[in-house]
Amino acid sequence: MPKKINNDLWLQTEIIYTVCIYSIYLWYIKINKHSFKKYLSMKYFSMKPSAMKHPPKKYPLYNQFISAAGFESPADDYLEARLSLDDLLISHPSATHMVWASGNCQQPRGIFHKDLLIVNRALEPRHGDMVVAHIDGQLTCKRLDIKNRRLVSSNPSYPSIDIRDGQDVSIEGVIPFSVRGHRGWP
Amino acid sequence: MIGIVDCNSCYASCEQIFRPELRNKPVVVLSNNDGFVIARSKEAKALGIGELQAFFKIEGLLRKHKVTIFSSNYPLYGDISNRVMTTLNTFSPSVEVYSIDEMFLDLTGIQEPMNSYGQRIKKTVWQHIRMPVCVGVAPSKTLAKLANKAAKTYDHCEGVCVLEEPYQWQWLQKRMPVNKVWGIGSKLTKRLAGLNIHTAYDLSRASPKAMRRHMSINIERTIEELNGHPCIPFEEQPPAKKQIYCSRSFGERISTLAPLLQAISVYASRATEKLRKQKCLVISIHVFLHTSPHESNYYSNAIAVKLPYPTDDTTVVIDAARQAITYLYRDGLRFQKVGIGLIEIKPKKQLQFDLFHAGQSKKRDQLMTVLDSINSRYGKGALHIAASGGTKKWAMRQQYLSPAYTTRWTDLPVIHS
Repeated sequence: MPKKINNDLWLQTEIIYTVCIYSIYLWYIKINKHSFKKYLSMKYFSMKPSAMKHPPKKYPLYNQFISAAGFESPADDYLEARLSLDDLLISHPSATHMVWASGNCQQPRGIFHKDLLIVNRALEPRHGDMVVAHIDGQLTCKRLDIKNRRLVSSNPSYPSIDIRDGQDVSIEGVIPFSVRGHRGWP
Repeated sequence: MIGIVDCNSCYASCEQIFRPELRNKPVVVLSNNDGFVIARSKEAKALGIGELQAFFKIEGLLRKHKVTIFSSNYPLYGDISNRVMTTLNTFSPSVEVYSIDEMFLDLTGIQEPMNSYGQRIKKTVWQHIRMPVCVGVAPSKTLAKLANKAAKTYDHCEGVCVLEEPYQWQWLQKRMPVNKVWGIGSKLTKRLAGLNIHTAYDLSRASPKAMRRHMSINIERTIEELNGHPCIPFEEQPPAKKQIYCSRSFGERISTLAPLLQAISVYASRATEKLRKQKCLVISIHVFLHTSPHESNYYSNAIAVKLPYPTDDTTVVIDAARQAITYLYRDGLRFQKVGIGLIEIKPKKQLQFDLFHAGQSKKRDQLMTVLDSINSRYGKGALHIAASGGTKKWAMRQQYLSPAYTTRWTDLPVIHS
């Protein structure tokens, strides 16, 4: 009698053991299919939701081009992010847009035909600023003369505009920078 | 406190940003294919132009009143909406983008009086983007939506309405019909009318528990929210879509099979692209087509297709969709619309593996990654499946399309100096 019980127990253990081995085998196949590394990175290094909304700037942490067998770069501890024109020229990204300049009325002030103008609406217009103004249904680029209440064309062959009361004038944005393509634009 | 910022006639205002001469003038925006009026500026509303009116019916009226007409320019609207969102992020650390023109703001802990804060939000969004907005502030989302309605309706609010005390929101609720409450649709309105509930105030006085037994948990939440107890949580990260649909009406009727196949391939590619973006796999798709319901021999049919294995592979989905369209197609009919829906979607992470099928191969995964990265670098459709290529005679009608002022170099505004 005791021997029989023993036998049953052995059978049970064997079945459990087989099932275990088989499931481990299945799991192994599953992981290999999608490469172990990817599986890990998916699981443990997923980004936080808040970080996903505004992807972080890519600052290099170490120089990635040197092979593992080579020498560590002495510059590794001093790496800085490469410069970006956006950072320099666009202080308020969501309030900034770009326009093409046409005509030569601001030529003496350095704005030429086909220059790229950066228009920032977040800046408070100051005396002497180059601005995009909306006058009687027209968008134009002028220099703002607050003291004399005028929008000045720098080229003497074009008239300056005095702002009268009741006239439909609005400053659509300040032009902090303009960009010229000396070889034309691509 | 929770704030909601709502763009006033969003699409029409977007069109006015780079055309300042159109400000304070009647402007309408038409739907895809220039079918219906989907947005009207305040002045256009004043002319009696209704929402969703067919364009061909009111074209004469629009011309008579010199209304400026635009086709939908979604690249522009999307960019402007993003700009508004970024600007609002400077006023609150958590912004929930509820739709292209509505954003919820978590204003917990702001020391400044809410009214002046709201005015500052409104002024900044106008100065930075030239988008007119209305702001509603209240303890719960439903009340904030109601406050926003008030800010739009009552001129003396000057675009900002703050409901801080019960007497304030009760005053408003008594004047708001119940169908203006967030989440109360036309069906519910009818059922509520049967219970003698006509205004938002009536609803707020109802017993939440009893109403829950009568209808659903949602109505209980709405009642609690109307009494200033926030129940609907803030969702900064949009939940993954459970279904993805892509369909469009044709610019002209189509009566041969080839262009239908081409169109369904384009929509299938677009839908699968979205699918990959939310890191999911599709198991079955829904393909449909119909002729114009205004014609005599109206034909409409649809079919659901189970894919051989869960996939995010464009070619597999296109293949299935083309077979479905060939099956549904009938000779001698003039089709108006085809479309595809990815109806059974599973996150890629939670996939059950099939004992008898290896599933999507790793090579295919890589191919799709390459496809997406090329298209994100060189522009949408730079690389596409041949089935969706070639000339598109059936493409959308967009007769009054404005330039994509902020997203294409060639479309930047030109300013005469």
